[in-house]
Amino acid sequence: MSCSEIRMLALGFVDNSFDFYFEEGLECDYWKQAHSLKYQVFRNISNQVLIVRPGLGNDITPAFEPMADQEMKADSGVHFTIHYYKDYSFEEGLPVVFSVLVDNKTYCMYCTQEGGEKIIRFREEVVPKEILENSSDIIFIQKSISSIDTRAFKFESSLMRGHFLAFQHVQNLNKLILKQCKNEDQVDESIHILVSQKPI
Amino acid sequence: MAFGSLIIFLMFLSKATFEELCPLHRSIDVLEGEYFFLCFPGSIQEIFPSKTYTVTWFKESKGKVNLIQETQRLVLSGRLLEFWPIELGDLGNYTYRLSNGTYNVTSQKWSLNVLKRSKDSCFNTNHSSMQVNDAGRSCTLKCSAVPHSKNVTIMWYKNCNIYDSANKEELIFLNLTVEDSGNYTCVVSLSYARRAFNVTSTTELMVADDAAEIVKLEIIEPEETYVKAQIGKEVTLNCTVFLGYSGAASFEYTLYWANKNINSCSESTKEEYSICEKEDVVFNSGNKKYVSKLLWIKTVKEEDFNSNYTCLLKTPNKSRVKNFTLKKGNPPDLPPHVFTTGIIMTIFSSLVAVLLAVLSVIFRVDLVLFYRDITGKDDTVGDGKEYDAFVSYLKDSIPTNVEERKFALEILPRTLEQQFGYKLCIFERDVSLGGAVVDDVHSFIDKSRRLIIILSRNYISDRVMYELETGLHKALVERKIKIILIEYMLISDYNFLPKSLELLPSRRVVKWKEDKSLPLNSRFWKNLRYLMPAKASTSNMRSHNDSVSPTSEEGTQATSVYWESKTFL
Repeated sequence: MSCSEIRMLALGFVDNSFDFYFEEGLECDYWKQAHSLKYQVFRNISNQVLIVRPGLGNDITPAFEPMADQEMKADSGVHFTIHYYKDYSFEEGLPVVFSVLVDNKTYCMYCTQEGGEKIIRFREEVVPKEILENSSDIIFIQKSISSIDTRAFKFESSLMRGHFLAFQHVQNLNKLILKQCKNEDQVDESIHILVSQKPI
Repeated sequence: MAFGSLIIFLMFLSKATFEELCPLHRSIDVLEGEYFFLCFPGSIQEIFPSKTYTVTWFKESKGKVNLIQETQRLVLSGRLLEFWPIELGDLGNYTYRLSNGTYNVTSQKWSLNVLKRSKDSCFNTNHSSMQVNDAGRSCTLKCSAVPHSKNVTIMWYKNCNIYDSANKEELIFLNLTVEDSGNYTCVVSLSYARRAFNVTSTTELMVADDAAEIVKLEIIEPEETYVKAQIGKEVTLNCTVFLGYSGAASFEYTLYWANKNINSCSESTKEEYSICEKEDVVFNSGNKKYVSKLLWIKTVKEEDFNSNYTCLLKTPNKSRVKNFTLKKGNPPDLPPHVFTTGIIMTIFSSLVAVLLAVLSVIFRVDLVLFYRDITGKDDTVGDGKEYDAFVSYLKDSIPTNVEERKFALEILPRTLEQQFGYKLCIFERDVSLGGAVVDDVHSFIDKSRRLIIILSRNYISDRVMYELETGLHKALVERKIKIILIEYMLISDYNFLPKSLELLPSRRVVKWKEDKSLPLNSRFWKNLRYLMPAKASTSNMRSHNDSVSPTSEEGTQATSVYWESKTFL
């Protein structure tokens, strides 16, 4: 994706501030790490906790499931780190990267396409300080759901615009998936994700 | 092996049968005496494309791994390992193995921890999850203990009191209040082998009464986004954001200067940045919270005036931008202490100047004399005049005052001529007799630079009056001579004198104060000398005369005699 394409894309998303963005102009995508928040727990609207665990094929399986607070032990795959990034566009939302420590290995969440399906996967990766490429599969955009809710958010893939983190019941699991929402104004609770600090 | 294994046919697998969630987390807490199951999630097809495979469960406890045999209590059913119910002895690590005869896959383990029931509570405080929500919102509490079986009854308890017995899977709160806070326990009952078993789960609902309003983060708009700067000087740009009211939750944000080349000032110490951004500074003002991001420009250059500095606030909501432009500005205002000092200095120096002016007016005579002494100024050279002063004094009338005579004929000439080197013209002494008095007076006044008139009540003789009038005419009309009036006696009535005398500046009148004026350094002599023309030889002459001792008794007497003789001629 070239810079100019990104510019067009960005203009498409910025519905009511066209003039402003045109005037300011957009730089090519480029991300630089700012601060990060450790021990973040993600839940879906059913209060189920997002957990990642290597499965049979050693693939990391992310899913939401009910857990008692006492079960959320260290290194159990529920404590994520949200890394906030600076970008140099004027788009809505905060660019973030998710990492999680499983069996002493740091995994990053990314989006990819397999067999025509857009899915979420994890790979072992050191969280980059800078992302110089024009696009990144690990960057998600944190957006608010309402102007008064500071707990629930939706996370849009920066690479696959219009696709949000969501959960879906697949094979005995409430799997973390990437769900397309064509109309952002329509309420879809499956893309609502509650972010909280690890209970002390 | 045959007992512990279960052959599953993929045909048998049906999504409708398995609506439950298989636990993924490895450390599982279970309440003693409850129904519990383990199952393996995911698609087995991906691992075993073949249609048949066997599942074997193992339990590892106290260092020993045992194959799990099916009993009435432990049921192996498809993907499931069911406990009817779980007992304290079931504590341990559980794994399963999938095999198609040639290929085996062993799962990662679950670690089961069996918790004892609480004797005085319907739930175990170590087995609950907290859910925080804000008052006024809607909320759904879901019973997470619902197992796969459909034949269940669900009972809800709030703080162990029956709350809802309508067999609901979830409790819905449309408008939360603080009173809704509490421990909500759902007890799911199901029967197996004609026995009833329970599964409980507890959620601690905490309703936060956020009194303070949650605000959208905004960059504070100072009225001027033009910042004054000077070339070569440093400048700091301040971007401040209102975070909301203290006590209220606020959104996550990133605040930074939108330029890829701007680094954090603290990022590197070895490389000195000419421009860098400082760390966030969070501060409170009253009950309001703010954060500031400073951009520091070490040395402002000419080209910096043409560029924009953009402060970018990113939140989960819309981004906020603020542009700063540098403007060439005057040097900053003086610091208050410099200003105060400056004002005091100005007032002080003007006071000093006024004082000096006043002093120089008061001591102008001394200053002028001092100036004449050190410069050796001489006004008498080359003006073609013979005498420094023409002394006018009555002599025709009968002398009524001996002292006055003495002053005019002795003290005055002796001091001025011998002490200060002036050359006086005294009619009686210097004018040869026989000439026309009028002509003589005229020509001698013309030859003199000053006309000294000794004023006295007795000063009324016609000739002296003539001298006076001639002098006045020359001084006031022709401006050829300057008149010095010596007021020998206090004169209260000037009527006998020509009216034009009043036109003379008062400064030209010197008062004689008898004994007080006698010494050479008295004000009288100083004033007189001041009015007399400057003469280079005055100081020399004086010192010379001092050594010669002009005030010797003999000399004085001789002069006196001489004057007397002349007077009586």
